[in-house]
Amino acid sequence: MLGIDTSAQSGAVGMIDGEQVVFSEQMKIRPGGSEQIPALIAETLDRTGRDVKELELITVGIGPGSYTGVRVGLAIAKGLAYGLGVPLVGVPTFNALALNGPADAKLICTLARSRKGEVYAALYRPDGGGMAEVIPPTIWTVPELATALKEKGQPVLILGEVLPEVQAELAMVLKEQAAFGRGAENVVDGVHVARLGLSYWMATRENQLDTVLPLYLRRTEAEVRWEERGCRADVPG
Amino acid sequence: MLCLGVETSCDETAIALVEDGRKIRSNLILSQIDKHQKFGGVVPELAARCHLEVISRLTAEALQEAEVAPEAIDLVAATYGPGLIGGLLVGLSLAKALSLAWKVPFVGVNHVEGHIYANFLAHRDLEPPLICLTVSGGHTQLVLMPEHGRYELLGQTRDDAAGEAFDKVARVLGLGYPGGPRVDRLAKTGQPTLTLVQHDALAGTYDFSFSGLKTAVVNLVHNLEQKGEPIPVADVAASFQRQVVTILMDRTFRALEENNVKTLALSGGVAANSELRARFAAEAEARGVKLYYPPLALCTDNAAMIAACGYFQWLREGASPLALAANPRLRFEPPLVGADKNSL
Ligand SMILES: [Zn+2]
Repeated sequence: MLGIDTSAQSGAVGMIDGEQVVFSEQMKIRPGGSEQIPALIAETLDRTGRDVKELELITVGIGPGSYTGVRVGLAIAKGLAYGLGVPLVGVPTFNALALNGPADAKLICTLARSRKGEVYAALYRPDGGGMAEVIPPTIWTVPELATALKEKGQPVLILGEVLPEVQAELAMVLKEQAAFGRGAENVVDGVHVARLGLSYWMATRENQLDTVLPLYLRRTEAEVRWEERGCRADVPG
Repeated sequence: MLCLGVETSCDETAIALVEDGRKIRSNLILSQIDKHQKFGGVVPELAARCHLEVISRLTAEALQEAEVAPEAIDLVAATYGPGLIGGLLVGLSLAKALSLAWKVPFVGVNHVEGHIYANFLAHRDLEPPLICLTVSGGHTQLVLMPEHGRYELLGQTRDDAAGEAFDKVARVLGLGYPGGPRVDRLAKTGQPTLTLVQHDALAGTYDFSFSGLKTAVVNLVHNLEQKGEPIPVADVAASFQRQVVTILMDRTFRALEENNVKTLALSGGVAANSELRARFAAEAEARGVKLYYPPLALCTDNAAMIAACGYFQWLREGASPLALAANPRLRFEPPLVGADKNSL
């Protein structure tokens, strides 16, 4: 099983063989360069003495995150899955990221960069080795997110590659209620993507090769503007 | 040698299978034009989204249509520039992953060079040395191709591309978009009797200029409008087109003669213009030059030309690195030869 995620500043690939971790690699892909992930996969397979033809399932993070980054991940996953004739499963990136947190955490909030002043965030509760979704991936302003987390009244571990000023703002509101992930904890692990994808596949047997879509959370600006114009035209008078 | 081509640089998702760089086994193009029309132009983010949604299905269909099993494919080629970055990345990433899965070489292709190779698909007897005139909405270039993969720039436009000038003139005449085919159609009903520009400022060089001609049309139309006189749109279209083709012919046939080349290939969307084709054909016949141009379907963006170009590139240079980066501003700039000829 191969897991890929290219939604954030670091790209991740991981391979599992049953319970065994074959490899877990991460590389800086921002700004630009996510199209270099196939070279990383090729080198890593070589180094670990594995053959691409051994792969039986391709799994990929669908975001939220950088639109372009997520699309590159999906295009790579589609090429591999179609090329190898194996199924493809899309995995919510935040669910995989939350698995970086300890099983005894009360709440885990996953974050990713969005436009200026906004973040993507979701909230999870560790649950029997997995993650139960408390709040699905949503776009937030930082003050809104801080308020929502404060209202939960429980310690929350915050994971994800976010800007220092976002972290500072959350820390200011949440004080000792919040803890922040360190280093690699903030980067998706390709192995978690592969494990999640495998359990989805076992449960559904649904090959998403032609149907998997990025979790955009937002339409294109051109579409939004066009619809706003359309609405105004509908107003009588 | 079977090559899969992938093209996603603008608003067309295209996949093709080409044998030995010459024979099209399948050539599928999914245009997104209806998705962008209401916005009055291509929306890059929307284009990238559309490419990703259809690309795996289109790849499967291209193999089915060619009746080819994945194991039969020897090479994967994809456009890596120039174009819209979001779309380029989708096609390039898919192509790299396919090459990894199939364990076949990957080749990154320059889209502009790809257009030249449309001719090698349409004409299996075509071989360099040749001179290629590329005329499209983005390019007007006269290139000497002594052998595959070697190019020498003879001349190019100093302002507008020919296709750009056609579009602007069509707009001024109220013909709408796309301008080229509409000017072409209207010109058939008019007389090319109007002198729009007195003299050709770049005569004697291999370079082109179309902005003076375009401005002359704009001024003529405005003057008539101000005087309240009717605009002879068909005559204007015919006169404009006549002069554009005359300039293109002058440079091209002089280049053929001065470089002692007997083969001429046309590429790009404007190569579909009916007056251009007819007059180039007559002149080529008179001078003993062999003239080639691609059918209309291969003049516009497609993946077969990328596969063909990729195949010949692989023969010469081998595979591209798997880490090749997409380059939205990639240039096609062969070295300029005989620069003295163009310094006026
Ligand atoms: Zn093109």
